Amino acid sequence: MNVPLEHALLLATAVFGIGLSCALIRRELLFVLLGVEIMLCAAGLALVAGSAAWRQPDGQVFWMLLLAIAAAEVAVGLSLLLHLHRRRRTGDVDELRSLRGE
Amino acid sequence: MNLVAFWIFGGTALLALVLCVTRRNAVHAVLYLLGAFLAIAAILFGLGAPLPAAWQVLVYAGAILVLFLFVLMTLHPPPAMKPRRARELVLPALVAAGNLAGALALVLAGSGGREGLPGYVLPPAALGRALFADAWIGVEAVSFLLLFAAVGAFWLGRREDPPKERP
Repeated sequence: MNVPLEHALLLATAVFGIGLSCALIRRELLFVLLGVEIMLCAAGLALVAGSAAWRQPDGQVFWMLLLAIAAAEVAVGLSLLLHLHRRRRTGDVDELRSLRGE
Repeated sequence: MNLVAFWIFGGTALLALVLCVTRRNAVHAVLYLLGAFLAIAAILFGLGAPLPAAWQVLVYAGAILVLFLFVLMTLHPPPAMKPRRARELVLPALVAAGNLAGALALVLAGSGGREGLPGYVLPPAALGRALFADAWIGVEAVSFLLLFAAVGAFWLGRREDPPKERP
């Protein structure tokens, strides 16, 4: 492999960090979902890099499973977003405090 | 894939991601994320994963982000936009065209990790065999997960009609 594993892991860590900060800092549910997508993508990058470093297909097999998980996550997440907009007319996750007893 | 190409695509992906998470306009954010996913697809191809690279384009960039755009258009119908001057778009267009040309060169040269050091390229047939022969139980579990997600999405997305009055 011409790209050392460290470089691929460095890139995956940076992408994961961007996704995590997006999910934690942005308050719109849509951006939280985008951040989760970015984090899943970073995990997939690390899986494929590991697959190339150890010369085994397992990392890419896990990548395919991760793809299905990302698709399921986005389907449920976006329907939750639509539900939220229909019920509360907002996309802000900080507005959802009714379970806190306020 | 040599290290220079890796960091060109990686830098593009990081730049697009930073622009994505700092946008105020959600449509712009989704479009920047599209660019980042395409750059990451090129990286996956270079790391010897041609089938995941294709699925990255088809599912992540094709299906998932289009779903995001779909929901955005449902929630906020876009206002009438004034056409932008072509001069403002020269730099993004050049970056996008350069990336596309780089990815095409990578594919056409067939150098998915094979130049220099002997790289690892997993052909799609071998990946399919590993997926469906050895990891079949994972495939079954994930197919159940997708089914449940579809049922959940239908349930959450149903229209709540007011109960009908009996005559």
